[in-house]
Amino acid sequence: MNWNAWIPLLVVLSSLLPGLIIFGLAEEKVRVRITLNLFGALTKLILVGWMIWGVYNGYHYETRLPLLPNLELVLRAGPLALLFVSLSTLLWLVTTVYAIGYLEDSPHRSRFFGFFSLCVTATVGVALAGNLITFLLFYELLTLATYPLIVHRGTEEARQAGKTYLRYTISGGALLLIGTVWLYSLTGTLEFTPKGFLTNMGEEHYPALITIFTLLIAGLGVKAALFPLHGWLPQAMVAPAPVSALLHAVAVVKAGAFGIIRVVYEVFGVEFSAALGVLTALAWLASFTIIYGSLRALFQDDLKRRLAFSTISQVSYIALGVAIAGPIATIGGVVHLVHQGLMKITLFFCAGNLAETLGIHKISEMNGVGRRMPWTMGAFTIGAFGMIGAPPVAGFISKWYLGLGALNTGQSWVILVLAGSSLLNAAYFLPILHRAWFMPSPKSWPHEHDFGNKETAWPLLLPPLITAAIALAAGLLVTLPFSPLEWAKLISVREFYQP
Amino acid sequence: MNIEFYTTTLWMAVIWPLLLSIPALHSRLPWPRFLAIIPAIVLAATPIDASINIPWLLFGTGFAIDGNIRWILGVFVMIWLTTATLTLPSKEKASPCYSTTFYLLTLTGSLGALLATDLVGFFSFSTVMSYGFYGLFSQHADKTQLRASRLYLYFIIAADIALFEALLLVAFTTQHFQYEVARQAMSDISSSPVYLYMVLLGFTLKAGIWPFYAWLTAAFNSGTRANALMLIAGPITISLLGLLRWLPARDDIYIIGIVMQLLGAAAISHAVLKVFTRVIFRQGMGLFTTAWLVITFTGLFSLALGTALLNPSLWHEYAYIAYPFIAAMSIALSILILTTGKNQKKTELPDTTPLFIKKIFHVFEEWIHTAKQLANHLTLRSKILWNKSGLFFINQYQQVSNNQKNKPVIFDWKTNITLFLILGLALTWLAS
Amino acid sequence: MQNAFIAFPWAVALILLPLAGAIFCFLFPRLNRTLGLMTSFGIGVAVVGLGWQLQEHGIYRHAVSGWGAPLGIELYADGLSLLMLATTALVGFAISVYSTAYFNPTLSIRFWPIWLCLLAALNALFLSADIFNLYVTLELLGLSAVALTALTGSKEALSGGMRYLLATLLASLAYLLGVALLYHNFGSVDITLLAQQIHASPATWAALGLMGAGLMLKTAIFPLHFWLPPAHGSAPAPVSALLSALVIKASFYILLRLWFTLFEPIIESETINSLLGLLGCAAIIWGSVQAMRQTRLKLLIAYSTVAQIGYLFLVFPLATSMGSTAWSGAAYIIISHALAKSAMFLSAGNLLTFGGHDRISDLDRVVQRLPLTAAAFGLAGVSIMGLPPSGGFIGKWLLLEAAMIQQRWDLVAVMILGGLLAAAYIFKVIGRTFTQAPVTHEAQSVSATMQWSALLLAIGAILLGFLALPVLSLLNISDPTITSGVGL
Repeated sequence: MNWNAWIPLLVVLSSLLPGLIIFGLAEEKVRVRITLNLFGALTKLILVGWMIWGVYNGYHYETRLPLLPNLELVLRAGPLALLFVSLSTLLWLVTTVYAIGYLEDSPHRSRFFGFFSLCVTATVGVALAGNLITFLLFYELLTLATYPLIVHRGTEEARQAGKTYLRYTISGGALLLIGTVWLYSLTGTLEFTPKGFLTNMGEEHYPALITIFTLLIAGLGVKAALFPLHGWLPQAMVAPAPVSALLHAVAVVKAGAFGIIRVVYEVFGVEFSAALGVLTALAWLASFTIIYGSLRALFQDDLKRRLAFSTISQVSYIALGVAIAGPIATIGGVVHLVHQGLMKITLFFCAGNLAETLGIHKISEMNGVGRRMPWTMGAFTIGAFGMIGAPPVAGFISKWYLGLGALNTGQSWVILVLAGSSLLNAAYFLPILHRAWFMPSPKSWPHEHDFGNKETAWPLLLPPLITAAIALAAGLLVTLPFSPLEWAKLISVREFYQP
Repeated sequence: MNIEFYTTTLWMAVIWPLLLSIPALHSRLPWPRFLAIIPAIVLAATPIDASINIPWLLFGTGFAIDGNIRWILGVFVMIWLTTATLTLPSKEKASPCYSTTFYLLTLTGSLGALLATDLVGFFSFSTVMSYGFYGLFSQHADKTQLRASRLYLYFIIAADIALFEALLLVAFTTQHFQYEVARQAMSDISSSPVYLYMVLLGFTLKAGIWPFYAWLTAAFNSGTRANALMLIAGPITISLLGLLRWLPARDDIYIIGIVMQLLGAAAISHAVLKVFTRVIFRQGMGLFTTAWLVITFTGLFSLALGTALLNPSLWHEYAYIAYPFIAAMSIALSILILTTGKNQKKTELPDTTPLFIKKIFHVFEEWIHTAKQLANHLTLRSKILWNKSGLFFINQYQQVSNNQKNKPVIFDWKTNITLFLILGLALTWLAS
Repeated sequence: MQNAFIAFPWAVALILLPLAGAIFCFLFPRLNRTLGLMTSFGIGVAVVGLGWQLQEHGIYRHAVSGWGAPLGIELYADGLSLLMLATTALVGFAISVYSTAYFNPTLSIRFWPIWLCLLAALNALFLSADIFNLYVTLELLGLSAVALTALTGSKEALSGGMRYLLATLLASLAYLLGVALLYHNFGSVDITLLAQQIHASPATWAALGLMGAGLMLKTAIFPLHFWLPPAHGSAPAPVSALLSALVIKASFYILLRLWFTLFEPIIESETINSLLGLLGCAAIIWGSVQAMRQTRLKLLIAYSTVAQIGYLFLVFPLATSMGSTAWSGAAYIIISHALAKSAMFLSAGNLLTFGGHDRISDLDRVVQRLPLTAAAFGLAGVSIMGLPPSGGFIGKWLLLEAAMIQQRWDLVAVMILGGLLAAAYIFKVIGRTFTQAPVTHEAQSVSATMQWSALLLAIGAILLGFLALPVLSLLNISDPTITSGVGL
């Protein structure tokens, strides 16, 4: 029995099965639920670690199951897949701890954690997908699994947010479907191949291929919050903080960005895309989104909404890295996948802490909160500086590589975009920090929960500190062998440029 | 004493203040500000050169100390001891005060930038220093001080962006960031001249060289002696050092040299003409005038550097003077600050900033407000449009579905039988 | 033992068993539930046996009482029939289980005999090999269905049932006229024999027109769908399920068979296929839009059926001799729609029992109080929308592939739009199940049998998404001489 062929499937199942069991648990069975969650997370972590070690040493992990005549469901663990899977697994573990603390005494926790596990299953499936049809399958599953989390609270507002979310994501899924079927009817294959599988298509297919590219990117761009398909993201902030943290900062938007990477590098191939002329348009769109997201973020008073617009802006860095089309820009885009995930989840965790402990939802209520919750705001500060691109937090590394890549391919205008974005990021993050640390506190907080002499509950405090520390380490210790940057370099070499 | 001890002291000098800056640590130790300087004192006092390589930090950096740096380090140490003494009696307020944390962060940044051996390390540490000083300056600040700190923030953000671009250009041209190698590569005729402009811009912003001195005068004017001293043993000196270390000598772009000379000359003349003649007969020496002295000295430095850029041979001959000059300048200015800045009356001294600069900053501060209004206007209008169109579509349906009573025409028998017959005929006809 | 198992005439058993069951249920009303369940289970076993037979020997032909065509009745089973029979057996079993808990004793006495009669008619229909036999079974099917629709005797049920009765009789009449025309001209009613002899003439065209129109009225294709929403909306839940899932598919099955075996050779132009495709597109759009407008759940599901039937009619313009993708797609949609739609109607029945009403805007937090039912509706909805991983997605993919290869962009656009509209009305319901309604109602309890039968059907629809290869390989068991190039 070839075990290597089953490990990717086991990774997917390790969160599906606990999730299905959790659905059936009664509300009071807290310990069982926590045990199942953590067991699933740890199993997945161990399996992913195994695969990382294996791939580093040249092993091959692939599961193939029949789906349609001539099309198979393929789960393949290549370097890029492993990058995303390990990010998701690690952050799932951390977010589970956070959610356990956040939702204490909330109703319907079994339902929540059940769907939570389904979401992670879908994300891991997206990461490990080895061809476009598998990707599509898990991508749509992600939509279906995240919807119940958005409407979890059961209020009318949540229902409307869910409606908006669906309008965007189901339409995006439909566009992706058309693109995929069209591509399949033209080429007869959908496997992710390094350098793409379209290099042999003749000139007469170019208009069709350009349309297909547009359809695919539009479908993926909905989840990746490219302008003008970003409208669902600020609305989705009505969900509980763990949901916003993991899903809208990490899983859902990253699935879209990851899909864009896959399509440009392993379906079309980056040289072919450049030949088609579609990458310039993508670069322009990504740049516009970067600036637009930052501009909108400036005018938000609600903390989570400001972070949402910041996400819109930051995820387009990945698309920009892809569109610049050079090995170094690729590294920048791919490593930003990890860095942005770490930093953004820290920020959302802290926002959740503020809301849970002190009832703070708006930035104007945040005066002096640094004195009351120093560790939380400390983590927030690290995350914010990373977003601005100040060394030594990880964000600076990705901007470095993006800028360098732009210079290498002669597209120096990108540097202006990056500089402008850093400026805008500073403009909307630094006032928050200033308020928190340097303004006097108000007499009483909107809705304070007492935690004794601790700042807040342990499950709420530990996760942001862990992710902030990892973000800092990812920036400081970039030259270590398993840092995200080194792994991104490996991906660039092994998967994209020298198959 | 062996070399091991010195290399340990070398990196300890940077890490130790960083560790101490954690509030939980320094609140438990006595005299933390003094404690933090001890490794630096040891380094400055022993005349042994050492260096250490740290390949796993950032892109591979390291620390080194030699004679030149020791001059400046000595001066820094003295200034820091003075500031620590000056701020000693300040009672920490009841709510946790972060002055010590920011103080130590500024210290870390300055030491790290001073001792770093390559461009990236220098840049990273100077960023920590700049933001640390910003934090320090904003502690227990009144309105004028807050405004000054805001100004400072704008400047350092712009400076950091410029320096980041410069770093990118270096990375693009060469893979090495050590000072000599980088400067050599960038002085090559084929590399981009934009680098020079970026470096110049970045460091003039950070050092407060004319005409970017608005934050400097504001900071000196509204702050305490301790803050002014920290500026000397911090951003200003480090930025001058940065100019020394980052600027290459090139034959083709001599305009940079001319620009720097002009800036220096303008600084000196502006200071002499406008300020001394106006102020010295009315207000006496205070921190305000000391600020202008700083501007004078940095202008002098700029003049010298510009001259050296125009004649590379001059550079090689006299470069070693730069370090003692900076050290001496720092000492002189600090003594002045100490003696004249006492009991600084925080009155609104006449503002001598040129009008056009004031206007620029006014616009800069107001742009947020205007942009906000514009955006609100735009989004409101688009929201109304959307609501109108969306409502139109949905309203129709909701109205109709409310009347379930009236049966649509499709349920009428006559219609259906007719349709049925038509379908049959159509099929028959089309098949033929 | 194994040989005996294979040699047993399963096809005959498929018809006789439910008939016998119906009679016994009528005679022994107290045992009707047990008898009904046993019969359903027996039908399942019989289908498995038939399937095995087909795998071993290929197409199955059986002359009843030894009298072969052209005088006697012949039974014929190939891949398509097997799939239809399997679907009937599976959905029938689930509905039987559900009905044991749903109906009170009075209704139960009326329900079981008629239901088993309907099952017998369905099985016989899928096994028939000549057009007159098809008429008989079709008629029996229609009458049983009408009887079941009017089971409760309420005003809406009676009026809906009446409308259904008149429509179905009209359709059967037209069909019979067509049969008569063909018999008169070619002297046989057996499909195989007719296929060999048929040629284009005014009589055959008229027969095509009559039979086509009749079958289309029975299948409720736009614009002849008027009878479906009242009938399916006002019938009891298990009856709506079997109507939408099974009964409609029977007339469509006949249409498919006749079209591709008898009428294909005599059709001169492609326009007629385009007409059918156009009607299909219109059905998809119209049905989905109407479904979005509904305020009652059962009517919403009924209009959803109207829309899904439209997908099936797209097989006519898309099925060419170039490949069997469209054919497979249509078959897959039939099967997954049967499972999903019955699951939906059964969950609607649960909700009706639970709250006493099926108003969509008052589905107060059902997802928490009836989680199994909400899950069943959700999963079934996923298949109806055509989202992966479900049977509906596989069917939609195959149809889209066929449309893309033939460059029919209009059909692609309509199918995608249909999917989006389906998402709109399905999630309208699901969103309400999560939200708290302004007014809370008294809740009745719903038995576990009812909830689990709905859920298992829905899970089946999802699992179909992973079983494409086995199912499609079954479909390919067919007779090359009859099916002119499709199903290969």
